[in-house]
Amino acid sequence: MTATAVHLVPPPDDPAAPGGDPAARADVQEVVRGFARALRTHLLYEGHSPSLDRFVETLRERMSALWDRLPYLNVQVEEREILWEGAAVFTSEERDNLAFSLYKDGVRELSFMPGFEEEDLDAFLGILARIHRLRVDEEDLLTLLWEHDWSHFRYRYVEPLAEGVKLPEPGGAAPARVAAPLQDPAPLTTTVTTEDFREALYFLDEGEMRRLEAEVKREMGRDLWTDVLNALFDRLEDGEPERQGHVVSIMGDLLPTLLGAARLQTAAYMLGELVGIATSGRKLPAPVVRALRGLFDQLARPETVAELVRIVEEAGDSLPREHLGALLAYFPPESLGPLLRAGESSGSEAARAALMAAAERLAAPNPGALRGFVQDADSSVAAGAARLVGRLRVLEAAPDVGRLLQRAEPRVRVAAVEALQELRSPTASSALEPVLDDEDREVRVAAARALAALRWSAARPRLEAALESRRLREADLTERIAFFEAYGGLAGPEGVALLDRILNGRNWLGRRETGEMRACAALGLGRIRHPSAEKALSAAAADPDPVVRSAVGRALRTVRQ
Amino acid sequence: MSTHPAAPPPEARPHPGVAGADDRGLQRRGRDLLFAIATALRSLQLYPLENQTVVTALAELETATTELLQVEEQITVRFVGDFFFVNDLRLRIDLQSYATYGTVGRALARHGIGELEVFRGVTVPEWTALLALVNAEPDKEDPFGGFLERLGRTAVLHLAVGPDRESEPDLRDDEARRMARRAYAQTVAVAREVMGGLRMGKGVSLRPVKRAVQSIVDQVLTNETSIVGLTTLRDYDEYTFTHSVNVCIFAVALGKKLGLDKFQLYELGLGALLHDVGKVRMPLELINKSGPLTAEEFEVLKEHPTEGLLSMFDMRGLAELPLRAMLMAYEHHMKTDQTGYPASARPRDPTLFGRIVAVADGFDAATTQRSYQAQPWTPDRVLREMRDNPARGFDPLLVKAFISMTGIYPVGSAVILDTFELAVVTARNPKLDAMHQPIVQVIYDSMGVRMEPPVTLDLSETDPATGRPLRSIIKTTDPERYGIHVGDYFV
Repeated sequence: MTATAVHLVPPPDDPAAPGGDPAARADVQEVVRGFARALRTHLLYEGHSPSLDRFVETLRERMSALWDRLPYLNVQVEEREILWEGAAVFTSEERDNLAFSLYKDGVRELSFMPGFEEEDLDAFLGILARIHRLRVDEEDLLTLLWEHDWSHFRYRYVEPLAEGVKLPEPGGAAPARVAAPLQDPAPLTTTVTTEDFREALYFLDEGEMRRLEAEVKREMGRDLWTDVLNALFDRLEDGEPERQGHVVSIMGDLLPTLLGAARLQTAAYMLGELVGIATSGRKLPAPVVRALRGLFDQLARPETVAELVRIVEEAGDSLPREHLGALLAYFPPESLGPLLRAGESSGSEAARAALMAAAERLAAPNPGALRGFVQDADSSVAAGAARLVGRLRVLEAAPDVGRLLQRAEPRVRVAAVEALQELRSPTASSALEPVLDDEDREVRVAAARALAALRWSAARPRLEAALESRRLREADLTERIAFFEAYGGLAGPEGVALLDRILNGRNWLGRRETGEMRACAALGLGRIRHPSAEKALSAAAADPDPVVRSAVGRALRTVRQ
Repeated sequence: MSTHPAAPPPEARPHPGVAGADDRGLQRRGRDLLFAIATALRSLQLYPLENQTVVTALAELETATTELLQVEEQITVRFVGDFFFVNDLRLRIDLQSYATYGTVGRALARHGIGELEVFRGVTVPEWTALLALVNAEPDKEDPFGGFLERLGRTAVLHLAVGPDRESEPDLRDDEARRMARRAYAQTVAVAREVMGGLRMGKGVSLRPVKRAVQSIVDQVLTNETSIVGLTTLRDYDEYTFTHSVNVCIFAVALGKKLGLDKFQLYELGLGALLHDVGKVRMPLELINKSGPLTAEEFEVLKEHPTEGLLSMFDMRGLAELPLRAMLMAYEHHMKTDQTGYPASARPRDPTLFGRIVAVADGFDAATTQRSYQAQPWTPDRVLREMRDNPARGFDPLLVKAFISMTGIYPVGSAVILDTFELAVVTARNPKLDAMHQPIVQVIYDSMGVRMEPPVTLDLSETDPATGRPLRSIIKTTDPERYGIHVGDYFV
């Protein structure tokens, strides 16, 4: 066992005057203050900054120079002070200071030895900074210090139960002479046999060492959650009602823990086993069944789903999508609304897809239920429900979806347009026509594309008017292309004249239309697979405007396919 | 106040020969040196000097030595117990190095060598001469003296050996024992506090538990003999608490034997200390019942592993749920043949840590007088039963490792020697081939007269005339029968 550093501190020259050699004291002061400064910088820049590097480098140099004066540095820690040779070398009245950080966790003495600055300084500062950031329940400073293998640093701390603990002492004196002679040993004796000396019985051979090595490796990589959960499931199945209730309550606490740790697969396993137990025909007491149901009910809460989405978004690509899908498979029908909302509003494409797939699974057995959600005041729920109505082709919901086109939120109207496109019914299609004049650009583009996809020729006059309008000429390129392509697709050869005029028309100043408008017209012609369209396009094939020429080339390729 | 024991005291470092010790480099270079020595020893055993394998091995040894001597003024390799120290830095033993270190350790121990010094300027012929002597048969009468004499006849100037000092009185023994007692007493106090608090339904802080387990791990890593010796204090305090601490010590010591790192030992120790925490939910009258349990009472008691698992969900103070500790509490009565308790409906392969705790728990429980067991078994008999009776359901490989850790006669065993002296085993013999010849203290002479103070003997000592051991164990016995409190010899 090692001696303690404090015993080795040489007494000051003059015990009556604490503080020791003034020059050394000044150096120690600089070093300890350097710690405080480096810690502050570490916290400020979260461990990465040129300023921090500079502070740490200065501290390293100061410590290195200190060893010319001292064989080692031993300081005592108090609540607001750090003492060297009985005098303060660091003082702070702030609650969150270097001394208090150490003191509150029980550290009372630090000993630094030469070499600390090279090998231990960074780790020491890192641990101090980490302890500042830790929550109350997390690992404490002493555990962090203990875990690290220090080369040139030691510390002493207050043991919580050290004072007043009775140390074991030798017991009462044994008799000076035993009652029976040893030649007549007690019956409890065991006779030694030669078997005891066969080394093979005790020494681990190489094969056994390898097996143990593999065991240790396996143990460290083992999924302990499954082991713990299986234990809980076993006891849920065979326990007394009181214990069963306890287990279910633990499960209730575990679920958010698992979800919070993004352990979706484990959470899915847990829910799956619970479903299995609940539906196995095993008679569970009514309160336990209620508690189980309550657990699943929690999943239906919007906050639960919102939290899940946050976890999935934070985890990003590292979270396998199938794990999310496996988990969502256990969400109850009541979670449809929250899933729709989350599926519509999540920023993660993977999460959106998985959430909508889960919502679709829940809605499929009873698609009529979606009509209620379509009318939901929450725009995300209404939009998500509309999309599902389209995907599941719930035709009776077409009027409800059509009414969404009157909603104020553009994204609801976009969802409605896309849903109406999926429904492919005359009612749905005719409802789309006026949307070409919607005030929102996204909605108009969606409508144009939907009408083209539906080949809803009744929309041709409205599209024609749009092509001639000033509004479209001022719209962005995407919208213009959508409208021109929709028009070409719906009008067929009858639309060539208008598009040809826009592409090739001239007036006394030259071309009647801008290059972009002409390019859009070319793309519209590309949708008309007819010789007249090809002819109109060919006329512009050598156009000097590269934008037009490129669009014409693209359209010609389409026409000639 | 407690001192973190990982680093040696300032007076011990830097080593006189160390020039700015770079521990991480030293750890690797020290390991390389030991591996090179092991390889050279083996190739010199198998092949003639001119063989390419030998040439290569010695060249690698020279490289390893040169590398070290570039940063250290000299190298001192010390071999203490299971450990190697290179310039006072303990080399970490893991399962990749255990066998190699063991080979070198055994080879040196045969000659009573505990220390090897290497100075700058050492040459391959010098290494060859020294290693050839290590491979030679040791002098039967005086292994170390004989080795020195032979070495003196060679032209080896840059290598020196020192004796094995393990069995010599250590000036630091008292301090080591004091630290061990402190750690033990503190951990018992913590166990009492935690289990008492849980029984009362109070919230308990796990910080003292963590601190206590850390101190046990430190003790096992640096002072194993002393701390393991304290497990013999069967009547020091209430059984439940001392048993928990003993299981913690045995489990950590076994984990060390398996090559677990410090943090893994901590996790193991934490679970081992709390393995019986479920008993706080058992009726006190059942826990304290003297005499055998009825079938109904046993059924109730069998619930404590499950209660242990469940109660740990109610604990706060750990950053994460202590899953390993939960499983140690839950699995420590499970057997390798899937019997035991609690029964498992789902597939279950008990964790390694759970099986380690099962061995530690089984050993301590069977060797201790407690409520349901008026007469404890002798330690060697328990080991034999654990090893030979598969119905006990212990992992045979772990039992083997456990015996190799405790020795055939574990610390605290009362033994009768062929001289009819009565002795207590106080330490495993550091010589790896003397597992059956522990260090003992003779308590009563052959006439039954108590010896004051007890005499310490190494049972591997031989009669120079015959080459036979001076004393041998013929039987083990129950120390209580002779009024011996075994624990007294460890405090």
